[in-house]
Amino acid sequence: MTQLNQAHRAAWSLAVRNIDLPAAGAAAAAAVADLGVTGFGDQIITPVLEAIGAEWEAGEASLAEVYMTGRISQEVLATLVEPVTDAEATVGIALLDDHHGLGKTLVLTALQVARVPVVDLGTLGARELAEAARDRGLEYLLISTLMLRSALRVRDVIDHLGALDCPTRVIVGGAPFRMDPTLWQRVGAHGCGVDASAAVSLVQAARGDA
Amino acid sequence: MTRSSIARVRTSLGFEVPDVPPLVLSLALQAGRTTGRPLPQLLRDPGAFADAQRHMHDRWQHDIAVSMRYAAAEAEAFGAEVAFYDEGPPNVASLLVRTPADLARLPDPDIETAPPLAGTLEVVSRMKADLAGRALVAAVAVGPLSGPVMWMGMERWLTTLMSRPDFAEQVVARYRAFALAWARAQLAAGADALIWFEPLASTEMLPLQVVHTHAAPALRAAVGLGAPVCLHLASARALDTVELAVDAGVALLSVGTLDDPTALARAAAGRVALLGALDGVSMVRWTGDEVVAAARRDVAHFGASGGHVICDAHGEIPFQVDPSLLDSLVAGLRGL
Repeated sequence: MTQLNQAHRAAWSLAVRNIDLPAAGAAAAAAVADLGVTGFGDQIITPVLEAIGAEWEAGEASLAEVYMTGRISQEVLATLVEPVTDAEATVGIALLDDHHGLGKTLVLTALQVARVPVVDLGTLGARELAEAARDRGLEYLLISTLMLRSALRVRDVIDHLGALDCPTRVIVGGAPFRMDPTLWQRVGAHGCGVDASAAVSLVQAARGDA
Repeated sequence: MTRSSIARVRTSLGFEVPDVPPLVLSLALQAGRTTGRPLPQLLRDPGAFADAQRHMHDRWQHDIAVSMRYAAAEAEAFGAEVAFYDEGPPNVASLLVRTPADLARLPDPDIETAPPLAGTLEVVSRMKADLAGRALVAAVAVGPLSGPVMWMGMERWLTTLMSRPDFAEQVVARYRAFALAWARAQLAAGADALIWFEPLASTEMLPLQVVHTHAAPALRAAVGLGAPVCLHLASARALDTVELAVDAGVALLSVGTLDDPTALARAAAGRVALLGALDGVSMVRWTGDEVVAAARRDVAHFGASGGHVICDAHGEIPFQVDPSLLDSLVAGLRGL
């Protein structure tokens, strides 16, 4: 990393960690002037999100800090570029019959920062989710869970996709899958992201983006 | 040698080794599993729920029985819609508070008559009568740092806590008043102990300063109600919360699934007893031997010198756990 990038990253990191939107805007403007919008996203926003996510995994940052960092990143980015359209998205994200949306928001934010087109399917049941994946021709369906009941119902989504002869790959994440690292395989998912950054990396790797 | 559940729990909370490790079971979801009745129906029927708890205590003889039906009952009493499920806990399905004006308009429920709360008070009284002398009855109240999630949703509440401190304090103060009144009512109905359910009081969820600012006053007040208090973090890391718990005079602190057991045991030793920490998610696939082995590991980590009560980490045994697994757990514990 160049000294210039390091300075931009430090300024951005400090601003978002302090939840200082004006400072974040100033840091973003300075970074974009030197790196362009794409460089700002790839070299500044994404690494800082990944760093804070890693700190959370290690017990060194709170979920609230992860969330606020993502939220500010999303807000600032929205002032710089047009939102990524979901019209041609081949990646979908949803809750499975659940009302806990924080994890979905974290992943959605990370995907948007990484400029991966994604469609937010909201909250659906297993059959509806499989049908939405088929109807939209999704390559990847990300399912965020908090409740064990929802995590176990991923098996139903997989079964419905099979019955529909739909090739959508299902990537899961959320607390039940963090607590039991074997669970994603037992419910038949095709991948598991332990956090938002990992979910984005999985999608990018599968798409050949990274 | 201690023999009764009450003596066994008291011995362990006094940091002495009891005859066998004390066991807490929170069995709201297992009530549906063991009776075969649809869970939504059972959770709404206090009499049937209390009957199920008595039958399960006859079967498992746990030392502390938890009287909570579902946490969302608190928001339901304020007017929130609650979605019930056949195989999991109910969730709040409509949010009540977005702005300070919403908070000001929110009417306080009458704890003694609002059906979701009155039903639980009935359960507490029934369990106290049914289990008298055989087990302690622990009631549950959600703390004011975490309860507002059910009013506002997690994202809005985290944003408020992190960026609107004045509004956050208003919300916490309002929930604190309710939570303490709700706890007091359950103790008056016969509960022997209080589980102060406060998952956001973990630094896994919020920065330590926010935790101390908003969770500590209510926790101290809850301890002041006079019953032993368990600070429950619902499987979130507890290490950074030990000092908060000790300062408040908490008797029991739940262990997080991702806590370093050695560090946590060292920090808590002789100061606050530890609760846990069987992983309810993994429990779904465990064999009888595996659940006993997990309990033995927990006893070795946290209970070698007393100061430990066995329990699942999250706060209730999942519906998907086969009841025969609890048969194995109990048999294994009695043989330790």
